[in-house]
Amino acid sequence: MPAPAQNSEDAGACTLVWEVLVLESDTGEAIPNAQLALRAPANPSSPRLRTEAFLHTRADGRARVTGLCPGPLQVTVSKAEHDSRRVHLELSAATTESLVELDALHGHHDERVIVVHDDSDPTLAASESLSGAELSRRRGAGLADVLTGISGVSTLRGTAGGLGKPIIRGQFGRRNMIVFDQIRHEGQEWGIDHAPEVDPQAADRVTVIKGAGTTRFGPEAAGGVVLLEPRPLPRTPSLRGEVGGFGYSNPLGGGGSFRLDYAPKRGKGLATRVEGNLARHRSALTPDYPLDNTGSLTWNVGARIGYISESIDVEVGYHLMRQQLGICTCLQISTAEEFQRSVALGQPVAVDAYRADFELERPRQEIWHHLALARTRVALGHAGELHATYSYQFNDRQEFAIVRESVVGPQLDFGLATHSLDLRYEHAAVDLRRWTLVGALGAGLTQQRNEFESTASLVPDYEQWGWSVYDIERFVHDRVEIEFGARYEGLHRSAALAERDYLGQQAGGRIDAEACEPTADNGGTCKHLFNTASATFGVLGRPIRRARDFTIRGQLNSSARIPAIDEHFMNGAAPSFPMLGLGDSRLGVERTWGGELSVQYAGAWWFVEAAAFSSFVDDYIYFVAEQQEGQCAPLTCTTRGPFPVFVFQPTNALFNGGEVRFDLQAPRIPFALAGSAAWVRGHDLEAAGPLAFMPADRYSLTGRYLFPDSRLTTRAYLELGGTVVTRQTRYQPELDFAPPPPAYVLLGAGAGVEFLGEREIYRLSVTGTNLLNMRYRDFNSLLRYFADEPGWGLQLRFAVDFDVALGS
Amino acid sequence: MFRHMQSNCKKFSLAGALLSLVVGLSACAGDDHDDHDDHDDHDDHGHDENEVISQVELSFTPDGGGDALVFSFEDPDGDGGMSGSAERIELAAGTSYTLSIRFVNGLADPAEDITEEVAEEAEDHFVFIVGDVSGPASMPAAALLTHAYADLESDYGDNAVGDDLPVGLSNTITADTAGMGEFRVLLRHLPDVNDVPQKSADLPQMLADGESLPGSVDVDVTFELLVQ
Repeated sequence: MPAPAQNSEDAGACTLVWEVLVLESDTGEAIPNAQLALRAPANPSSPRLRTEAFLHTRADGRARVTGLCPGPLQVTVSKAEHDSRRVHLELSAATTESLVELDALHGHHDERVIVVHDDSDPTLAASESLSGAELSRRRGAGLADVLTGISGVSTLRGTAGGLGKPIIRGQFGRRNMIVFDQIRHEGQEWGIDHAPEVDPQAADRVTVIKGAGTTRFGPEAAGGVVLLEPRPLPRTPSLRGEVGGFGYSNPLGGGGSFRLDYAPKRGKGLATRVEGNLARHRSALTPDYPLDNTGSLTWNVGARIGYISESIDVEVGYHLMRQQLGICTCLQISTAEEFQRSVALGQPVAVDAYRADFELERPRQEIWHHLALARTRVALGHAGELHATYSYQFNDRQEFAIVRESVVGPQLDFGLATHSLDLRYEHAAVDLRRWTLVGALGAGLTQQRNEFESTASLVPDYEQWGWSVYDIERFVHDRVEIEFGARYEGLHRSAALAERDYLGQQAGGRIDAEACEPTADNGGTCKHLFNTASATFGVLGRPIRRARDFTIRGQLNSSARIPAIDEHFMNGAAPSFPMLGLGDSRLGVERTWGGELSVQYAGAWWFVEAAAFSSFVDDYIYFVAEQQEGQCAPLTCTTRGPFPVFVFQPTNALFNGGEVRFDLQAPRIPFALAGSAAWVRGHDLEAAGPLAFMPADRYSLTGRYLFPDSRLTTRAYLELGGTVVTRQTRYQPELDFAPPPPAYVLLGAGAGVEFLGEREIYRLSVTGTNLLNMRYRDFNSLLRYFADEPGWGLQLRFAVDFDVALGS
Repeated sequence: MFRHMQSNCKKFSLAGALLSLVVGLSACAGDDHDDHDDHDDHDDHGHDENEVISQVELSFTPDGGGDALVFSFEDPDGDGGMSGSAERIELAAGTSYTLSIRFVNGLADPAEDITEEVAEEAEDHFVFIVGDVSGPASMPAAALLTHAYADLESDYGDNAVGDDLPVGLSNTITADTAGMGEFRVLLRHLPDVNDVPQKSADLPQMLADGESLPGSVDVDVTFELLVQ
């Protein structure tokens, strides 16, 4: 894009010219379309520069500004996926030339494997990212809350503070994947209130791929992917980092975080990082009563060290997360009649005794999550480059029930250990005349072992091996990109069922006779082997030559998901609900056939995107009731009353939906307006009715007033917004414990400002949530059967980004 | 095939999800004082377990003498697997019995008697008897039996908190009328909430009136009843 001659009008001596070249510090490549924000002190002879002027670098990374007056000029250079840089100039010569280098925030790639030096999306599925100031306004929040506001993403909320997992386009849990630092997060996926044990504060950018990311990440990414990417280690000698603090009013609490990156001047190429954070809050308050025992204490520490050079990068790191989460006292085990009465009553029984305090009593969860990683990138000259990552995760989860005094310790204890090795070969870009071909060939191997300890059966111990190979190739043309992906993977799982578990499931006819055999201790071992293939095809087009920012994208995919351990072998009860869940080890793979189409215009001042998707899931593994025989038929008798039995059973399902979002900011008008809307429809084709747990329609609109930058402050704003969540009307009354809650409106507001130092940025923001203190329940919150969601709250956040250059 | 059931057996898909609420909500009851050092010994779970109740044993001893009549509900493989089953209670009309109730964890080896622990925490537990029974927690128009509590918290230890209330491990049952009916036994666990006691004298009446009770259900089993 040619740089507009912004200041061509001459006034007095204002005839100076500034020429700039913007390069990426890492690769030395020119950065096109980088934004330059120019600010000069008030000068009556240069009226148009009195406040601010913007322009962008051309395709060669250069820009030229004419009509400048002598004197100081301050320029902020920014580009997506790069650190912003501020430059101070003193203009006096007729032409001043500058070179600005920006640090890339994405992982390093050899220039030979990159075809378009751009922030083009990693996938042709729709995706949305949070980074920089926007992410820093969510520091201290759990993952689900960080993702709030991304269109098409809602939260499956548990019953403790901060607990929740994202629902992407109606899919959650085992149909979504969370990837932290390129490593797939491995936790106890099957529990709805098992929030993913990842540290969003360790991420510098959070991206949600809405829709299948199956070739790159595997069939479990059929719903979507949440990518959390830490900031790369510094490649130039420097000491930089971020220190921050946050405090909330509801739930009352706060914490702090730091990240320190150091690349010494001596020992070029070495870089280290230490980081940590701590957050603690007490129980949340609904408008009418406290949610007793919903406090939490979370801390994370991490360190990594790397050696970085042009030809080889090596990095090792370790991250430890600790979470202690209280579960609301309001989740009481009651008889079926009482449960219905409690729903009708609209508030927990014994609410008068509820308190908001920091103490974590039973029931609660305590989790340690360890992540160790080692990775390397090796440049292979003209062949491209090779990436290898080894990771080890250990997820140690203990759950403490309300028990009699003589019992100490947890009632459920899970230990999930996962080793994984990923290899990725990115071949050098191949020049095919008007097309360029880029791509990657990958292979992965994982070994996972789960140990479960409890009196009652629930999920058996297992060991599994998984392997995969994939290839993604993208043909890139000036106006069209075409991507093909294929993946083949296998899984071998050996589950060890204890005697009672095995005999019970065998008697119920739920054991796959071909895969299972009895063991000497009267238990059973079940061995399953699966091999599945997945493929994707995507197209990105820029149909209008003069409007390259207008793109149309489409993707088709087919992927086969292997049943998870609980779908095969769950055998136990949920004491809080009168029901029993049973897996079925005869279940086979679940194949998704999906497609999506999106149009996007990403101009300098306005951004609009509309996406629509549809996917058919053959043998969708669904949880439905099954009639029982016996004394309590059609229910089953337990010591806690007759329970209905739910089984995992295949059906055919169809998911449709879409999102629209926009972000408008007209030039020279200090107002901005952003909004989004999301719809999801899920149909059980065999039962000819809606699927359960589909998120209700969601609309949000935020207006923002942008203060002009001053000598000290920048990007100051004041915003007011609302989110409307409609009542879910597509449900089958017999499919739910309680009718869907009414629609609700949440009013939010916020203000923020950044103070720019020479090499520091101070960020301050305050946000308010549910400011109308509305009493509401959310369809996708487990709490809705027991209690209201939290009332109004304020969150204050402060952070300093600093960067001390140590010379090169 | 089972998608259009007419029973009260609801089918919830979210049930799958809800199942996981297992998390920290297991049924057995008690207070929560001391779980110090609980996360240091990952390998030693011997006494960290919850006492699951898999068997409820009712012993009816005729007041006029004679052998106790014992009827059990058993779910020997726990909640999962096969359905539990209850024996039919058969009592003689015009006879009074002393009913003692035992709760057993048959999943432990050897089986563990949970009754003692319930008795030790008598102030946090309450047994209710409902069905075709006339008593503190149940007032049907026509009842086959009459129920009265025959124990107090102080029978099992100091009555430290509040009134000396019945517990329901020992009861008096009078078989009044011949007929068929239901006999349902509920064990409610009522630990303190933030040091506020949850067990109170009016809970049986509240249950009879169809109100929601605090605490959680540890046992809810129904027996067929024959009085002849």
